[in-house]
Amino acid sequence: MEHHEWGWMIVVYLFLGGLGAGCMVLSGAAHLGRRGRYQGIARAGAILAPILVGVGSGLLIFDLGNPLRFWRLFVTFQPTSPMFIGSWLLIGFSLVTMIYAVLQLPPSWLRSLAGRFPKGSSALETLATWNKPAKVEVQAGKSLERDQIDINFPHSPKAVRRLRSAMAGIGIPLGLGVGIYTGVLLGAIPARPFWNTPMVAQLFLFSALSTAAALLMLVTPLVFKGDASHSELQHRSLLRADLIFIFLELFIIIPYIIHGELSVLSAKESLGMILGGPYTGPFWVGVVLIGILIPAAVELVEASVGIKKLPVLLTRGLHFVVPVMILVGGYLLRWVFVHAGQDTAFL
Amino acid sequence: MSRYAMVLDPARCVDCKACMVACTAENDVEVGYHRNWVRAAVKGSFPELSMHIEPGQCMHCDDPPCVRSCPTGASYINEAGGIVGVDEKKCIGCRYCMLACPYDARYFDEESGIVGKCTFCDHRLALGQEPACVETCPTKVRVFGDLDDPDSEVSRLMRTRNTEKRLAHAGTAPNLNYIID
Ligand code: SF4
Ligand code: SF4
Repeated sequence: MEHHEWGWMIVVYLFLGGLGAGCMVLSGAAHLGRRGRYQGIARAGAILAPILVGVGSGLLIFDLGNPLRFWRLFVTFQPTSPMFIGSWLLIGFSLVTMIYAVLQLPPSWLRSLAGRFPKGSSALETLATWNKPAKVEVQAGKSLERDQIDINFPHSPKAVRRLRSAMAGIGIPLGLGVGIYTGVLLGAIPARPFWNTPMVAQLFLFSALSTAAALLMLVTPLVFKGDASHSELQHRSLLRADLIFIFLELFIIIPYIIHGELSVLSAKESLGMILGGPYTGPFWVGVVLIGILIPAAVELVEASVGIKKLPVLLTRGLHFVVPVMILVGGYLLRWVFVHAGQDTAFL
Repeated sequence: MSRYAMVLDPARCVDCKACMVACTAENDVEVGYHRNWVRAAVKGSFPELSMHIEPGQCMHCDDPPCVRSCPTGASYINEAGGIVGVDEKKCIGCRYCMLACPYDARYFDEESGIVGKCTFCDHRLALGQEPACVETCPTKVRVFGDLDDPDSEVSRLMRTRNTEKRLAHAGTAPNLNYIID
């Protein structure tokens, strides 16, 4: 591998950026979709989104040759540069997700904060009341009536409820935008044939959504203390959503290869990077097998016939290992693309 | 208005690298980096390819992807003369332009944290001198001039010789022309 201008910091940035964007999309959908049903997902996603994107953006700035000059991104207008557009997207995303996250913070966290900061305690207490979710009773095997869960934050004033939902509503397109942008950043570079296809943007977006669903499978139980069948319901919905994302990923990788094989010499040569070249192992074993095929198989079984018959310990193990595999595969996808792209040149 | 360009005759190149030395000295290029090069080049189109040695540098493209991709406007194309430059005060060192250049004509100077490239020695042009690489070359591989002036040497060579652009299909409309006959 030659010296690459873009290294691990950009890889991590693209990964975390996609992950945070996906968390916002899933959280927004969970919040708006079926009031109260998916409150754990909505909450976990809302908290994770600004943190992940914030850390990623921090790395992006730190990776600059002149980090202290990053403000120059915002004092000019360069509409032809994907990086310029992306920078503004990230600013908008961060603002919206931060407001949204505040309005989704668990009341218990806010109360313990209020205990520690007496000065702001009354504001924090108020927020804690606003953020108290509706009590939702989920009975195993029974579907919920709509009117049972019509309002998911009954203690919020109307204006706050509206603001929360508005942020969720704006956050979804912003999240999709950030997810697409992480791919466009690479895809818009004709000089690197491995990147230069519109499919990279789609692949990165669906991978962002899939990794976010995986992360939420791991984190939702930590911020949601509801009854078991309610947790189960949320897990299953993440699982179903992830199956869709994973299959969409597969449907992109296959045409990506076919398209490249039938394309000009440069594109064909660059595909060699993952077809017999230095990135073959990480791509097929890491990205495809570990990150897509095995999780898809397990999730498909779980979603169709169910894995209830398995010993509890094994079920728990699978619920941990499969999301981790998806996350590892998602990271490797960024790693392979960032590096293989820089190894290819226009012929 | 002028439209600066170069015509190069690779057959004359003896691989002495005097142009690289001259450029480094003239432009105070940090040790370890180069703004021009003598590289192996592929001539013809597939499958009739042949390899030879030839000098090169930034092609000062008319439609430069480096400028298009730059998020800060640091990379610019100088309307007078069409020279592609980097504003040292505006560059944040993101290196996006380097990935966008099909010719690998830019380098990242770790020391200053900004990107550097050939300027066609615009500081010398202002004094009526030629770029350092052009002046130095012992076998006169490079000819530099203004395509808008029909009497210039480059215009004459473009009319009388067969020339070719490198990676023309990359679509950047480069301004270095290589003699092929
Ligand atoms: S050769 Fe590269 S750096 Fe020079 S103008 Fe063209 S794209 Fe930009
Ligand atoms: S490295 Fe500098 S010149 Fe290149 S794209 Fe970034 S800001 Fe522009």
